[in-house]
Amino acid sequence: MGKHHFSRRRALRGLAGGAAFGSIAWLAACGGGSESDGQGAAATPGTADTRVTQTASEAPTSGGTLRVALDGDPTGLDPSTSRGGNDHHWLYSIFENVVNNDPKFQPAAGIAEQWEVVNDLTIAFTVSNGFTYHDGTPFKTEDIKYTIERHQDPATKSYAAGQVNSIERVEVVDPKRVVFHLKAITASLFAILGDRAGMIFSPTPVTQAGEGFTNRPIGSGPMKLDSWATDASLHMSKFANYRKAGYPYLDAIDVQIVPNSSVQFANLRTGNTDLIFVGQKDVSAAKQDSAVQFVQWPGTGYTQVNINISQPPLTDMRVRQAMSAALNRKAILQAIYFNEGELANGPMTRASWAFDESLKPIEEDLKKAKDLLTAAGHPDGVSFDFLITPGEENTPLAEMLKSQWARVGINVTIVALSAEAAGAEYRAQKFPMFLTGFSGRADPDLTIYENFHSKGGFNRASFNTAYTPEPSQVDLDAKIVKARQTYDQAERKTMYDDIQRQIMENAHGILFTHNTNRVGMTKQVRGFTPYGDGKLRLHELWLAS
Amino acid sequence: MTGYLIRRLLNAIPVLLLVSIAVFSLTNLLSGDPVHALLGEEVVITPEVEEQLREDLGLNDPLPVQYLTWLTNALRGDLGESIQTHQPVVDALRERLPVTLQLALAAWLIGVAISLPLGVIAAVKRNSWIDHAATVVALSGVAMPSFWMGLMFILIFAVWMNVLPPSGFVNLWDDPMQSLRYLILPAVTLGLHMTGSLTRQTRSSMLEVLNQDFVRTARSKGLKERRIIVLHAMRNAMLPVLTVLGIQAGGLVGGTVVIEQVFAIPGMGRLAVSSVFAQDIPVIQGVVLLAAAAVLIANLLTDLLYGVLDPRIRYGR
Repeated sequence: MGKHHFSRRRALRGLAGGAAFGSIAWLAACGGGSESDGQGAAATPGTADTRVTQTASEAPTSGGTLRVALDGDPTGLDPSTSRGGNDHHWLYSIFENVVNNDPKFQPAAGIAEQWEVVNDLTIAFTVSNGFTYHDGTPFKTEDIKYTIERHQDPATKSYAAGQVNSIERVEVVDPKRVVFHLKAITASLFAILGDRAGMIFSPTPVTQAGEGFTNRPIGSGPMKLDSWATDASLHMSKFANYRKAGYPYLDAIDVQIVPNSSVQFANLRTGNTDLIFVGQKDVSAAKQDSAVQFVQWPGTGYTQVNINISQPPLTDMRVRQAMSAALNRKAILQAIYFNEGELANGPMTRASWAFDESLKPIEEDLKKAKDLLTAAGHPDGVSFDFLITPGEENTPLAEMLKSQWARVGINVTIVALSAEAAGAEYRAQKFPMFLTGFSGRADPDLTIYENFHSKGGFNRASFNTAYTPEPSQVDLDAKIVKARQTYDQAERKTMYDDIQRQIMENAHGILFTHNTNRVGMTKQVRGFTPYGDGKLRLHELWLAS
Repeated sequence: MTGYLIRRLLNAIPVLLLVSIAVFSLTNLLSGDPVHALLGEEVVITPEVEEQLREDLGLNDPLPVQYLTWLTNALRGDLGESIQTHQPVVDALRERLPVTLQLALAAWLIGVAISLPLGVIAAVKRNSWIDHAATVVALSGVAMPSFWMGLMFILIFAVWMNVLPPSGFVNLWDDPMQSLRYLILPAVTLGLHMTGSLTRQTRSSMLEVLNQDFVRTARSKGLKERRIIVLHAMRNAMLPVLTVLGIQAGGLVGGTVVIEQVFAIPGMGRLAVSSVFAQDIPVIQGVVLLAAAAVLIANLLTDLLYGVLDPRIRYGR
């Protein structure tokens, strides 16, 4: 196996050389239709309007407080017990990861400076040390072992437990080296360690704080949490003893919780806040406002109708294919998403290395849809319930889908429930489909296995004990499992191209658009890097004087 | 008087008890599951962790047992712990109540400051353009949804004129001037919403009093019109107005739900919204109990004020 593993090792070592530290500014102005020079995210058709003020020659200046407005509190700040997708806006500044995910989801240095795939089940990391946590506790290599074991301990009730269950044990070789022994090949390991599961903490503050650790987190990241008033604000300040001198540049970060996106935008326009996520309806105003820097880039998420393929009539692939072919996705993009984003050609977006440029979105074909329905034994059409959670985007989208499907005889009855009720009812197999998007993950396996494998945690058919996968699903399952069993990214890319084609053609989900992330900033904010996961790395920013 | 007070306070106990039973039952009747609400749709956990969470939250107990456990603890002053944040509910309420009280009181004062003069002037200048204008102003306050009005005020006073902050909150005792700057827009939005019924009530009540004999007598005695209106007519017209004011004071607690959401104010309203969405039953219970207590107290104060305004009304027997 030597030769094969040597190439992997070399590739991963090469990646390790590119430290993520010291965010490089995204020179979006250079963007257009092509990728920037490795410093930012790939461009989408929409990024032509992106406008930032930083120039390449501008040197970072230290000092100042960055004011941010976000729409909700984190669900917690303990990497084990917090569970929200937005928690990372804080977690990435407070904690440091074993490795980081760079803007394109390639592994980059974190606490580990280098790593080596010793063999399929053994990954060795060389870590930096000689630094402390926010409370003065010195970092020890054993903390990496402790962090993983804490996630794995059922008593912790860690939401990241599932992500680390392929790790058999973590061996501390010496103060500079730690080795991960795996139960199975885990292609997504680096992406996982760059996420919540790889955020390192020490047993000392965790034990002292107990359950309160989620409100008083202690990490070794560039910023430390000073205060958190729920529904109001979170204040972070510079960690003076951060392991890299002169970093971070900001003295403090003040995040205000402002639920309404229009009010957030008003705060940005009036200079009461420096950074927000721009709501869809404010995009046009943000692009036109000369006092606002506007950045938009491809996200990992997608909009879709989630299908439960264990529920009739959607057990029949032809019915699903008819539903997919009956849709005019361009009209949906235009009417519902104001032409922001792009049509989905598969679950992997432009933000991911697994995006397949050659795969085309499913085209509208009403005749094909009718033929498929007839072939499936429904010449007079088919009727069933369509579950949604009402909202300013979902409700008109559901109506639009309903009317487009009606053209070929697919008659759906829209059932609107609250998000919690809808989730529970859908899980309980009471509806065949549910209008709910997916936010995406750093590694394709984390998106594709969980959503499209018959045992995936987000695949609601997996909750149906009576479900027996059809042959095409069995085939898909095998491909998905195979794709997670190699570390070779090029090999995986080929496999995911095939998997995505199958998912779209066999309509395992009915996808509409790939999401776009949009941030608005005041003119003095510098150093913004758009990461594919859409999470903010606030500590990387600085303020022009 | 003391006996009356004690009786009223004792009467409040069964009301609060009934409210708590109703809220507990209704929350549990909602479809959905607090554990799944806690996890969201995009968290994959093992069934063992899910079961442990359910056990820890006491959700495996029968509903009557869950309620009795809550009640027993509540009688000891322990309203439980938030499912979402693990913060003790009492602490959450203690943090949020002063915020909402500041907003509600400011809104109430603004509502009164607009409605009473407007209603009195409309009555005195009956059928004049002032009367019609007062009606338009008062009814506009009711007709416009408060979230929309709030957004319009933000657009006008924060974005276009840049004279007030768009959102946020500063405690009165931390920085009184800043606090007022932040309170003006939400308090005016909420206050305007109560002007409709209050102005109309003041106007009709004043019209009725102004036609009574004692006002005619006062005029025939040569008293100045302003003295007649302020000292004689207004005092007598205030009883029905006071009733409306009392009801609205209680209702303001509900009104803050929308306003706090729009203006990003960390009060009881925001807590109510987030706890309902998360099916955070202990917090919902705490918020609703406190809101019910606020309504009861507002009603009690109104009843006591009747006696101040009209010496013929006396309590105690």
